[in-house]
Amino acid sequence: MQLKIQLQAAKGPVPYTDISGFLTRWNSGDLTVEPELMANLYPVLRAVAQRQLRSFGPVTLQATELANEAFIKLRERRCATYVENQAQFITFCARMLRNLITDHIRGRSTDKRGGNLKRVDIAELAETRAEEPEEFNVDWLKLDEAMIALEKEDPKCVRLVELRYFLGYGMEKCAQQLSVSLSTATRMWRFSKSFHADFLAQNQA
Amino acid sequence: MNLYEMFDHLADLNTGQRAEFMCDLAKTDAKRAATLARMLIADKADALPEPSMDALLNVAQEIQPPISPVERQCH
Repeated sequence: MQLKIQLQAAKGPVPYTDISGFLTRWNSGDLTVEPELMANLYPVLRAVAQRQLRSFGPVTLQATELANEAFIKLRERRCATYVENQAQFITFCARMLRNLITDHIRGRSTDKRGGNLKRVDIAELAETRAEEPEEFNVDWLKLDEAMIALEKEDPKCVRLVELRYFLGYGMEKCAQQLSVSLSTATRMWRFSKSFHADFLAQNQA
Repeated sequence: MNLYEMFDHLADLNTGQRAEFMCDLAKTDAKRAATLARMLIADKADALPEPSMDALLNVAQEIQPPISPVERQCH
């Protein structure tokens, strides 16, 4: 009995949730497990992002490396038996990054309206905006709204947009990640773009 | 058939078959038919810009949240 306890202590904290099971359910469209997954995986991803930012500076933050490193960290923490499928984890990372970014931008909007959450330096923000080229000007909040609507139509298309936008994946890599052919991924992307265009037009009117 | 499947199916049809499909759909679900018709027009508009990591990095560089005790475990 004592030996058992000692062995467990040596292994470090034992996760209380079967992450892999939840990831499998989430990947097949069951969004009810998302809060549980977020609670378990988001801190890991955020910690890795912070370490990257501290070590190399903000401009070297690479979303794909971030997701891969977060997966390795989870393995190091002996969560390997719980997060067995890296592909599922990577797809969920894209979702976490989407949340991280939209939450941040919502916070930024609150600051602009005089809220108390001062997480961004105004001068720094102005500088960032001035440097932002026109073609990269993505309305992340509108994109998020459209994706919420798209989720009701076809969750797999949302996963594709998340991979493309938040992990910077190309079409071939997306197809591989989602286990679909390149032509299917291309059609899903075409549909997602049309859906987004229609959503924008309907919500601007 | 969900919206994606309909959109995908229309891509394989010729103009006549497409019109027939849309007419049938309008009889059963006018709202869905209208959405689909608008989406077919939007298909050529390309409203969603191609993704760029630069756009993501512009936001990412602003995000530097404080470390919580839970997160320290991961370092």
